[in-house]
Amino acid sequence: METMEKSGRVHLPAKLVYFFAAGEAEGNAGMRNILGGKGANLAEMTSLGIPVPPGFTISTELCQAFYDNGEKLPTELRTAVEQALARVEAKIGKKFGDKTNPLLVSVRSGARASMPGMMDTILNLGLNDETVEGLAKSSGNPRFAWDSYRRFIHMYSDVVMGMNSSFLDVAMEDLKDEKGYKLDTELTADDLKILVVKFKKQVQDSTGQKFPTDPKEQLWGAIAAVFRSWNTPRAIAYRQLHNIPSAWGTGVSVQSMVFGNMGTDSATGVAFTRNPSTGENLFYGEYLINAQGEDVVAGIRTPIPILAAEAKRAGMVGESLEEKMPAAFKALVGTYERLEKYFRDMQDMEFTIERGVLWMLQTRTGKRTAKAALKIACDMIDEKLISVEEAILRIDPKSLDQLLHPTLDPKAKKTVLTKALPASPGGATGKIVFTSQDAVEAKERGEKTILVRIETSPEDILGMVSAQGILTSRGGMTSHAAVVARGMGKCCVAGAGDVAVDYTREEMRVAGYVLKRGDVVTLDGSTGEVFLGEVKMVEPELSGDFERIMKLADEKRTMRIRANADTPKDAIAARGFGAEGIGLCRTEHMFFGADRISAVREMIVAENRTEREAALDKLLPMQRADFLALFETMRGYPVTIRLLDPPLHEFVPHTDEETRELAKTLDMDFDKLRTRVKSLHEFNPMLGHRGCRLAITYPEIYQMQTRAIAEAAALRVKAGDKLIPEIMIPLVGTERELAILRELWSVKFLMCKKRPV
Amino acid sequence: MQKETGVKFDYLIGTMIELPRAALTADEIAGSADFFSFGTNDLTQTTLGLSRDDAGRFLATYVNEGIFAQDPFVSIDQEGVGKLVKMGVDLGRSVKSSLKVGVCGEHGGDPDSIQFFQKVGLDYVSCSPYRVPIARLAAAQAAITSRAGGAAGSGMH
Repeated sequence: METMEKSGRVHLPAKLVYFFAAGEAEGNAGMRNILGGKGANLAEMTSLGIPVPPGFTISTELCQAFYDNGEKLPTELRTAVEQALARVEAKIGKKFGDKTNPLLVSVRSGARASMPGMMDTILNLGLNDETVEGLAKSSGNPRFAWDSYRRFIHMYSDVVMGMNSSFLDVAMEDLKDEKGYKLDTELTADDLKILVVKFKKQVQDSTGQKFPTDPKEQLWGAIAAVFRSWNTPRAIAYRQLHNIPSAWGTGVSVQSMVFGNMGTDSATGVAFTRNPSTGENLFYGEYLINAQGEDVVAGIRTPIPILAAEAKRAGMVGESLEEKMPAAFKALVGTYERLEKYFRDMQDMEFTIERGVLWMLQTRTGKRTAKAALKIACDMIDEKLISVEEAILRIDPKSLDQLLHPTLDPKAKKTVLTKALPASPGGATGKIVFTSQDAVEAKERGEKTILVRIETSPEDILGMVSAQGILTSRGGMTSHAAVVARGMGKCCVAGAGDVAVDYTREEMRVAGYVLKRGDVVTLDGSTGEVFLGEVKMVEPELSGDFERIMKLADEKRTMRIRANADTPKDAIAARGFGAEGIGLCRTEHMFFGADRISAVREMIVAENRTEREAALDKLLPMQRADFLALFETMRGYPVTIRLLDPPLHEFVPHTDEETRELAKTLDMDFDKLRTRVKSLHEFNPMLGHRGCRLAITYPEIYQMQTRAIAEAAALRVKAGDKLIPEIMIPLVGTERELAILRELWSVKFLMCKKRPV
Repeated sequence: MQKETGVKFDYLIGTMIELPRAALTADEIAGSADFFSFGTNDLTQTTLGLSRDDAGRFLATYVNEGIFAQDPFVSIDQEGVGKLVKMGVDLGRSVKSSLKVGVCGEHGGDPDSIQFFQKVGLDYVSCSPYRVPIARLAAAQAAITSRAGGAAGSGMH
């Protein structure tokens, strides 16, 4: 390290950049650690002969080098990038920065673990006032060229120059209003030229910098920005949420552009090889004609289903890719089938169709809900695509939590406000909030919220974590809100076009209702319905896929699974979930019951053993009944009962008022009682008079508990159960403690007076 | 007690291992115990000298700074607390090979911790009822990967 700092050099790997183009990919799918998921799969797809625009990926190891180098690109990297770029130019027959037929590139992030939408992307890079003319001529489509240019300035100024791009949105909306347009696609080439001039001026006014015209300078800026986006607050928050080490870094893929915005024979879209929400084995995707990738994912326009049947269901008959571009659709179907078979898992793909020709821009293992994960795992076992072990290993155990949460009671009375896309399943009720900040603050106060947004952006991630559910008025099943919510297992209803969201008035209008911030709504992420007020929830019904995977898991595991359960109610739930016994029954919880707390207190404040035993005599039948119920519920399974653990002061009154009342109940002198209660105070109760230390000093307590266990067990054994009660002593630090307590039961216990069972 | 009730039945008396001293002297304690149950919530508190109820103010900083890889109350601190668990298991079984050993505490339902408990050779984990399915699946994954790891390991020799 020291020599490195002295020489001012940073550690660089042997190979900095990995080229890919038909027939010559230097990387492969196994290299995701250094190429990132995106780079590795682009290389792999290229090797498979799937059409992928040529490009190269900068190793994730350069991310750390970039930071070590004071957030500057190492010179060696510039050289390697220039060499790789020359290879791309040779492959395509276009030159970067060329005035007649320019090569444009996209610059995109890609880490080892997928972090959808968390890092930055720049498209259409390489445009300036001269190359745009060249692009207009070479494509024969000036509108497309200028549309690409205004997109580039918008994205670059936002991502690289750190400008608030909403200024540019306003300029564009103003122009549309002036011209009386509704859609972006109505803007003409001349309109877009005006817009480009306005954009550039705005950039200079806001940032004090001229928009860079040199394509190389643009490229260095974009690569650095992608590296920097690894450490934006939203990316850091996402990494923490998903336990992704910050040392991994992101790769950068620089790829020749293909254009989905070249006219009505061009399109862009996102597709899943199976439904990511339900797991159904049905190709699922959305696309937009004459658009670029960010239009689909950012929810700017609501995309159209790829399949004809889905489009019909959504009321867009004839609009699907299947109907509009049958040849490209067929190519896409062939490609997805190959990719899924090859990677043997559900894939999430991005594609672009340029003048009728399909290009793949990405494939990755698709994020899915727990329900979908189980269904896909079961289906793939049946399709003999994966083994049982693989199926088990693929399901994130923590995601099962989603299935165990309550869902809406189908029998409850409901007022439906609207029905939109079921983007992520589950039920959620909460107060409406319109900002992530409000959701975060409400959570700190312990309040449940529904985050209502026109669309979400990566800045909303903390709000999405804090809210119970998410409702958006724009965007499809592949929008940011939908993808992120599914990843979190959070309920989400997306694209609710009937909901008019007004941020400034903090209200939403739907179905004749005006709902303000703080009003309560309920979402059903499985049907896409939104309801007024709170709707009753019921325990979930576990699917056949769930049972099947659980059974397969049970056959593979070697450890037993028990549950911590203090009451028969807990025990029943535990059995329902497949627990094979109780590993911890905390008896102290039994002491707090309304019918017994006064006996417990009487025992605690007792002055001598006789008094203490008299109080314990009252508790014995109650404890016996507790254990009996537990043994009955857990018939045939082991039950471990932990004897009293917490310090006694936890059971006594804390205020004079309560003490006075207790004195009355116990017919005791108030001052005397108060002194006794005070004497129980400890400075460090966790390390104080608790656990087996109680029993060493007051053996009667554990004696009573043991007796209750024994008597309850005897009754069950008499009734024919096979039962081996397990008595557990807490907070043992020495062998002697345990030996004394064992002795206590074998000898002294028998001297207690005999009680009828 | 069996005499009194007139019914004969077996019972086990075991101990929680939740103090470092208990783990360190597990061979002695095993002489008087029929089973061990690691109370990893308290064992984490007592090993790290860290009160769970008071850790909120700085725990996030500790995780962000990489001082703790994860919240040690969510996922067991394998190098520290985990070492005591392993020592407890090994010492206990060195004098009583039949000793039944489990864990009860939040870690019993945490997949990463379950992976560790499999490696250490616990007989069971116990967690809250709602986490039982998570634990069943995580235990299966732990068994599969430890088998695969074992096979790969032996193949290397």
